[in-house]
Amino acid sequence: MERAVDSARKLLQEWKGENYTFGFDVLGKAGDYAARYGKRALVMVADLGQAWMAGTSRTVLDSLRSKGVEAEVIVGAGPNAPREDVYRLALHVARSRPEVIVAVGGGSTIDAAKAANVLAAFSPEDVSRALGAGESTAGTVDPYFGVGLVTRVKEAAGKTLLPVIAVQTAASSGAHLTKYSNITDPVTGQKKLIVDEAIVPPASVFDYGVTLGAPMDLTLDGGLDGIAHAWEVFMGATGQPYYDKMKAVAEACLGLIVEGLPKVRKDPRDRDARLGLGLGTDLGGYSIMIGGTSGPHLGSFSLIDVLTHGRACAILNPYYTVLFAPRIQDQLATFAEILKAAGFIKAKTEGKKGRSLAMTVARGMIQFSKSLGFPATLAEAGVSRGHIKRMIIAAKDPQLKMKLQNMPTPMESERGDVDKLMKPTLEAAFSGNLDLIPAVGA
Amino acid sequence: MAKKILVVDDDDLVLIAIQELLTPLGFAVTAVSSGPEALQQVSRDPFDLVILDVSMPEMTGFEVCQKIRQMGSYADTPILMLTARSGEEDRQRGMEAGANLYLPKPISPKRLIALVEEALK
Repeated sequence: MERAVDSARKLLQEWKGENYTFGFDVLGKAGDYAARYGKRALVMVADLGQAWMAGTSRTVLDSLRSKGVEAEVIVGAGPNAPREDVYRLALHVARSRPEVIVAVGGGSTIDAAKAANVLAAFSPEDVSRALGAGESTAGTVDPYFGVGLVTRVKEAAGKTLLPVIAVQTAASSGAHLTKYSNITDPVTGQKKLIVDEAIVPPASVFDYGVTLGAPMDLTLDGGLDGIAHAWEVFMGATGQPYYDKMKAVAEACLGLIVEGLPKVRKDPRDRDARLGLGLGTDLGGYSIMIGGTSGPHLGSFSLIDVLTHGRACAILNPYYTVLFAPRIQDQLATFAEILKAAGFIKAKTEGKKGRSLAMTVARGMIQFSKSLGFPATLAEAGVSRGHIKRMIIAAKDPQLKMKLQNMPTPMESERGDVDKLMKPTLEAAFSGNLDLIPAVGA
Repeated sequence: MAKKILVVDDDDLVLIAIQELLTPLGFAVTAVSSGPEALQQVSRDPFDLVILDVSMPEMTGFEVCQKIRQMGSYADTPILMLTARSGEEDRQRGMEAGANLYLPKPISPKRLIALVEEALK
């Protein structure tokens, strides 16, 4: 574990340098970061009223005030960053006119803060000119869903975004480090993504000590999200120039979380394990800045009414692992070692390759999920056949196309890949029968 | 004289934000958090514009809109419905209830201001 901790620290420091402070007792750094950008902050705090968050927000506010930053506090976003919360936060940004936004919370509040900042910054005319959006959508969040569209509007309008200082409170999505904003339509139950370098928080803080009081469900989901980030990007890294970097990130991330989660489950106050989870999920965040997630994440976006994001990804990942087998042999060998060292693979892996190795790794991943008390199939988790239909429809939505392109063998919905390859893989995840997964060429 | 706007939303934090956003622009904003309160307000005071949420616990925005339209003095008052329910069916329901515009949340604050100014021209 010590080696992985050192490696994780080094990777994060190399990546973010002075703009990211992480570890224990570091919340005070929020004031320094905010003061770089101005004297008036709008602070969006998640879960006001929840005891385990109270101390955190108080410390952040004290640190802002100690640096001469005046803070106005509003409630952040609810789980999954619903569209209505983005609307409310954008209205507050517009009326408060802060010089800097400080988002204190988990991925939902940070993601909503990123989107609200974008929504408040540009006029419908800016959006129409840059993206050709029609009158009915130009003033909404919809035109920004996709990759790089905020930057296009920003550059065409010649305007800047407010800096969002992200104070992360959950070892999970890595939202404080990334270019993603995940917004949910609570009526349709569908998540969509803004992916853009322009929304990366310019500075972030994550005090892993905050997670010592986090609810266990949140902790477990977060850890699984971290694994999903690293594993999906690592699988998609075959043949990419960043393969070696991604391998180093994934090895540290997967090792820390696979070892850390069971320890935290046993003792929630285990500081070493919390450190491992914090670093591991941060590296999950790093992963999704190196490459992109793919099928499991895409599927999870359609399951928000039945499964948390981490659990949905944890169920889907083993099945996609088998689907992608021919293209991910080195990745499989790497993950097999980690799962074996942690006792989740008992079988011999030496000499195994191809689909057989993928099956072993998939079973190890399933064993790991089960050890945490999580369901191993979609059916067990209460997912219906209607959800599978919803996942297939979402996979054909052009605004989510990037997830198909990120796969080790990119899928083309126009070519029928979603029906030919994804559908049977989802059927396998539904029933737990790995044999239903189609065999694809290398 | 300042144009009068009634904002109806069950999220108090949205009400505060809209009030503080539009008041400095010279509008007189009254904010209420339920359908019944909205109907009381419109029966007491004349408003030049109503901004109405749809999903509210006691009475939906559709019902409120319909009832407002039935009051003779509100036959021509612009009503903007803002909602998380963005489906075509819901939009049609909103328009049939008498809304002038039915918009999905979230819209940008700049668009909201432009719509308000346009409606009150």
